[in-house]
Amino acid sequence: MKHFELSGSPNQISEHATHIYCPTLHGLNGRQADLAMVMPRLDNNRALFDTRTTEGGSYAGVLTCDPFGTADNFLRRLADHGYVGVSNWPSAILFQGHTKRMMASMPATPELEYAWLAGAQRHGFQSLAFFRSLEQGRAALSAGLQQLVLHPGLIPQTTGGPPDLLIASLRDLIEKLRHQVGDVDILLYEHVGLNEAVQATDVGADGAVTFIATP
Amino acid sequence: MTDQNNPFIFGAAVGSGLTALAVDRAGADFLLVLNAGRLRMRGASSLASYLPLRPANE
Repeated sequence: MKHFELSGSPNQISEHATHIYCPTLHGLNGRQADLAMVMPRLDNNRALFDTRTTEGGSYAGVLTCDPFGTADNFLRRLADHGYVGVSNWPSAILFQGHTKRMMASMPATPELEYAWLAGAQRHGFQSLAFFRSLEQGRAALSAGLQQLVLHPGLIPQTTGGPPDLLIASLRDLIEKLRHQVGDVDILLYEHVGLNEAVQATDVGADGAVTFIATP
Repeated sequence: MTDQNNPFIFGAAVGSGLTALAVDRAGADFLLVLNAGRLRMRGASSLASYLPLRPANE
């Protein structure tokens, strides 16, 4: 089982998990982390370089739809800084309805994020693509990405016993994507709203991504 | 710009010092300094001000 830890801390949290450093998550809790994409708190991509050179094969949580800068220079700097992988977090995957249409005009869309990650792969980076729906998962696969993270969505709360319907729908979604492309690793984002009632093994995922809050 | 015959006051959103000077010379009553203004001056959409691109309050 693969295990990643998503955090706003530049330091590796656990020795047993691959660290994803996303600076804009610093100080947020698990639910607020879902909204990091629409919190103009700092320059996330610039902050990735504020720390000492990264060691231990960390991933960078990248705002891939940054309208400024060029991907080539940015990716070169990431590599020089020691990052071995990139992930599309903060992400546009949770936008819906009017917000989704408005942000797409910028453009900030999951498809753009997957294209950016595919470009990073061509530069030698590993990639980890967050997605929330079957449509987004298929778009990520079509872009050539092979390591995906299923985000269960904005979950109000799961209480009162095992959420069987949710488990069944997540499992079904993962199986459909595996049916499309056999050689793919699909992980589960073990959202704080799930209260640990749904874990990667429950839905047949290849691993998990856990959010670690930092004060 | 405001006077007894004109009950309105006029403000302008600016994204740089140059436009702030121009607005001042044009007689605006106040300036609006917005996070979006800085990003618009650099060619991005106003919607970019939602994103973690810059600290909005600085």
